[in-house]
Amino acid sequence: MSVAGLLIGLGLIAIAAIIAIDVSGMRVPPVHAKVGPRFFPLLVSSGLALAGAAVVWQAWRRTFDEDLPPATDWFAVAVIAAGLILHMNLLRPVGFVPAAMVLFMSVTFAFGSRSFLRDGAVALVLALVAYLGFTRLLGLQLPAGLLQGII
Amino acid sequence: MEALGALMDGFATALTPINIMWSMVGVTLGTLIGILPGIGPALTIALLLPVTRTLDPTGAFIMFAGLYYGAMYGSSTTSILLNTPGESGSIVTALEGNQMARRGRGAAALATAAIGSFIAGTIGTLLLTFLAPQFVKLAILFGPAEYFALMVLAFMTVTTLLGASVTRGMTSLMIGLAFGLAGTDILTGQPRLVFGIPSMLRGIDTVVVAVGLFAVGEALYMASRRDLREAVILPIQGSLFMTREEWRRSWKPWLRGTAIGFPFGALPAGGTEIPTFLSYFMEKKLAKNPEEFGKGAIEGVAGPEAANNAAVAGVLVPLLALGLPTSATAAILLAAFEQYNLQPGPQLFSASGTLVWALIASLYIGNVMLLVLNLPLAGVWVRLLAIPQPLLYGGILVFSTLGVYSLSNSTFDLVLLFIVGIIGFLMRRHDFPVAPAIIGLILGPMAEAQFRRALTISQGDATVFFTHPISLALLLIALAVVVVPVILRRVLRRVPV
Amino acid sequence: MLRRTFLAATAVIGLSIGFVTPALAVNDLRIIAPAGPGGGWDQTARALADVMTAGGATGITVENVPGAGGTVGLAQLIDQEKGKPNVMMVNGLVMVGAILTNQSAVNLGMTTPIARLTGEYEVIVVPAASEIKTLADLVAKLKADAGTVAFGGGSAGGTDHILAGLVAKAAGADLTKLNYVPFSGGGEALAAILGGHVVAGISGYSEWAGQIQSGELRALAISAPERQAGIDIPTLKEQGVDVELANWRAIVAPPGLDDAQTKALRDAVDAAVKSDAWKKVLADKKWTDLYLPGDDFAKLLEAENARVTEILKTVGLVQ
Repeated sequence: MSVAGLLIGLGLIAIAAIIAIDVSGMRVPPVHAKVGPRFFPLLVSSGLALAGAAVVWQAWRRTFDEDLPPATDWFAVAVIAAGLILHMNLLRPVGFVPAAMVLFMSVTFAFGSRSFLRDGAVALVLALVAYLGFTRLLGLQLPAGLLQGII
Repeated sequence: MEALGALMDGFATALTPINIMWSMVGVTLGTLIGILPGIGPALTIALLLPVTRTLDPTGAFIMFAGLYYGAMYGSSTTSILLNTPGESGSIVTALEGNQMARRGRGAAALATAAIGSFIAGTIGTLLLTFLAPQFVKLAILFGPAEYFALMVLAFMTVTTLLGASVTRGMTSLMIGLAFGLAGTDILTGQPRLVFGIPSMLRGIDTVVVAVGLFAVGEALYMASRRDLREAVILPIQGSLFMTREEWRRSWKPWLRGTAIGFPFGALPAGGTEIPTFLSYFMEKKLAKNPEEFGKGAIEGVAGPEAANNAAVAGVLVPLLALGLPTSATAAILLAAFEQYNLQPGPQLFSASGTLVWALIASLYIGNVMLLVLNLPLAGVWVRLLAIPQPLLYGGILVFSTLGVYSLSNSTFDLVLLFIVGIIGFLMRRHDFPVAPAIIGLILGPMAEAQFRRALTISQGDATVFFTHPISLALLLIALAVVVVPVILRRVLRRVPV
Repeated sequence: MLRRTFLAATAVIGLSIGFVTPALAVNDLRIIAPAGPGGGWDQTARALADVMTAGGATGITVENVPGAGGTVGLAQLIDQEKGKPNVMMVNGLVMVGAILTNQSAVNLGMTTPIARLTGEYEVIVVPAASEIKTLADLVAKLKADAGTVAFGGGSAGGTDHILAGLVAKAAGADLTKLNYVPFSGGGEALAAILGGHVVAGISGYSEWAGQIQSGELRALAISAPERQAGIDIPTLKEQGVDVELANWRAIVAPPGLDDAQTKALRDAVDAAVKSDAWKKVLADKKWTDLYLPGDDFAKLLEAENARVTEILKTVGLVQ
């Protein structure tokens, strides 16, 4: 039995259930089409549930993960995930440039680089160029944060 | 041949040094924004509109045209090299293009994309010049019923993208369809799968899903595989540019892609994505060795890229001939016309002929310029792959999050990107194909809306799909796509080879 | 003169280092456009920002918060910008309908109304080849069986949909059978009308002006109170359908402002709207001046909300 496969299959069934429950509680205005906003979601929900059931079946029969990668570096995955979460929380309060640098450094670290000076320098240049290009050339708004008034 | 003379005059206008400069500015800027996911030509032109108000309209439109085409070139470059599509029209390109790049044929993939785009863009512009009125008449024949039939046909072609395992392919397709359900229901305005979060009313943007599944999912996966991390990708294997064999395999897909792409672009709800799926499907079906698809078949780059650029030219047909915007970019171009007090439509050719023909001439010029710019650069671009992996993926994630954030200045989109990224990682780790999810996301909402629109108009009478001749024909083709291969296989089995 | 120089100096400093002077509400103003770049709300926000900047205000920025008929932007204004005296948001009639259909937890009544700015009237069109020649023909068809008259237009519950409802109601048709088909953009709706896939179409006048002038579309009526200069289309009212509707655009501020802060914003907008630069914007963009400041605008918001709620309830979009 493949535990991962079982979890994925059950996850799919759970999503199918969430869709079905949310849509069932939805208000449906009278429509000429006779096919309302619930029809497609229920179709997709059934499809997902079937797919989930098939995955669970395969996981049970041990035909699911036949060529799973030999080893998974979960630590590296967690570091990038943490970088992404930090980035989305830092973006508004401290600004684009520091947030982007944090993200960049988390990725380089996860990929095994320990040349912090080089990575930091590249991150700074990249973030600054992107920030200036966006705000100056295109006139888009990016949070300045800590650098408000400096750049 | 009245058009020919007018076109020559157009070239005379477009080839002045100042207008050539605007064209250069446009194609360069376009290539840059095409590289960034989330930042597309529509947004850029919208932001440039106030700046160009004081400009001479001819110069401004020549720049916009260059920008529009340039974005498509830039987008395919990142699709091929970094597996990160910059625009939704080049998602399919990533499938084979990135595989080619991994085998050291990145420059060849870029070349076939650039040449294919050039040929498609040129043929498309020619068709635009001489056949625009005819295409417009065809385009407005398509109503909701016809579009739905078209979506059914497109769904049937998805089977080629499902991959080896039917369970995994269908799961991926369903995940994509599920993403497409969320947001405000178009037909009734009611919130659906919004869970009380205001930002969810917008729905989940295609770009968020594409970038999440491709770029973020890929980065997480590569980080999780120590064995792949140390593997060095050779940027160039064999000859730098396309070999004779690669030329031979590319030219037919270029032409077929053009033939599929142009009419789709001209359709009011056609878009650039569906023709790229259809072209991919066709190339895989026609290929002598279909088992190479998924491992870097050049046909899978050449066809969709041509289809994408031909569709871009097609979009200009209803815009110029009817004042009908058929894509976000076209709608912004229409606003630009209005800024200069020009009204697209039949009168445009008579009232502002010089401008229109200069614009059309500049499309030819922009195409040549992009080819000249991109072919030599292909050799430079592929060296991106030589960047150490940590820095490369760091950069990809910084630009991905930047593009997604700027979609609507929303950190919530970054939350969605993260969730989709984790799903993308799991899909990759457990060998689920990613392409069907993208197709579900794009086709699902369109199919649902057109299906319900058709039934609203007919007041619930489902026979509309069979009584409209075009709709019926498309449904029959869709049926044939499924049934004919099965029958052929049976027949062939009976005949001893 | 000295004051002028001082202001200019602060302006330069403000621009170069982003200096914040909280006492002056008109400086460092953020105008939220609750839609993507390029659309009507975005253009209104940017035009107002330009005019205010030309009038001497500094540090004005426009922020796009698109989505769901502007309700995503509205939620931000009410939840996150509460009590901030230097934020305003563009809004319009479309938002009134979107709040109702979205079952939004926030509404325009929670904001601090500043002023209605501009607007545009709606037209009802049929394709040139249609058997419907006049508004009377359309009214007759609606009365006979409203279900057979498929209207094509913009988003469900938006201005176009509301007008379809108002016209059907005034015509004495069965509103519960109103057959309205929402399309995602002006282009798609236009194609459906030109191709004869729907019976009639509704949209803002300027969007289809070209097709009306070239004769591809026949305009049956305009939703203005009286005939508009340069537009040769009879009003609904003069053809016996007692409906007028302007797709207005306005500006509001966040909740929780004191009277002085509200007055500062209202004065700043008042000054901008009365400037020549704003008049030029209106002329260039062909926007109808519908300036209505302060409390009168607040009353209008209430009246429009009541009218839209009634229509959307009858057609079933709102409970």
